[in-house]
Amino acid sequence: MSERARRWKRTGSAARASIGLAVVGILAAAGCNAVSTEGTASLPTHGGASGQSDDALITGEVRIDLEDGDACVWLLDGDFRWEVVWPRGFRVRHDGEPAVLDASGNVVVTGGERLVAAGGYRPAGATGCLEGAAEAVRIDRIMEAGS
Amino acid sequence: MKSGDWSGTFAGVSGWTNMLLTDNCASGGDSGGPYYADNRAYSHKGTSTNAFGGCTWAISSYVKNAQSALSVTILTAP
Repeated sequence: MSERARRWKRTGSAARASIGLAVVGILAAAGCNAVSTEGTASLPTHGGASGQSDDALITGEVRIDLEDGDACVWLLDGDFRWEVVWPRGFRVRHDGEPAVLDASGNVVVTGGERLVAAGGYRPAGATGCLEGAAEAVRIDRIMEAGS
Repeated sequence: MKSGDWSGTFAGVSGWTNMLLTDNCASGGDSGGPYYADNRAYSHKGTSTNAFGGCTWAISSYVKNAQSALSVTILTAP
């Protein structure tokens, strides 16, 4: 029997139960921190590394089109319409005032508000939800949002 | 500032080579901004930030590679 096994066997049953309860508690707490997706729909997102951002400037008025639980969120910049690929975990809230939510469930921007972000440009068709889009933008970092 | 040629994956896109790695902080809108180091022209591409939003490092594209990819030649002074 290994030294570790001998030490575990010497640990009292009450102590072992306490350790077990602590592990269960930690796992339960981790589950309680999961963000609810109720009342939201998925958005096209990318798996780019957190904290890394291309530095092209992306600006526009956020438009949120909702239909039968599906959502298309895009940017209007003058005469240009941009498809948008969002950071990982972003979703759109469709219950109540439509809004883009970040991975923690916080409101990033609502429909009609202006968004300024850093990221890059991709060919149109990246999301497939916006006909006539000039190009697609991939948002890596939100700089300013609102009004 | 310059810390040598860098190759790797950035913002989820792989295959970057001959990139300039610096500690020069930048932000949205700075993409394309010029750098010149060791007789090479570079163009700013992106920035990496830590969990507190502080800049940690940045990369710039070697202009010669960009010319080749786009099949263009940048005019320089005679």
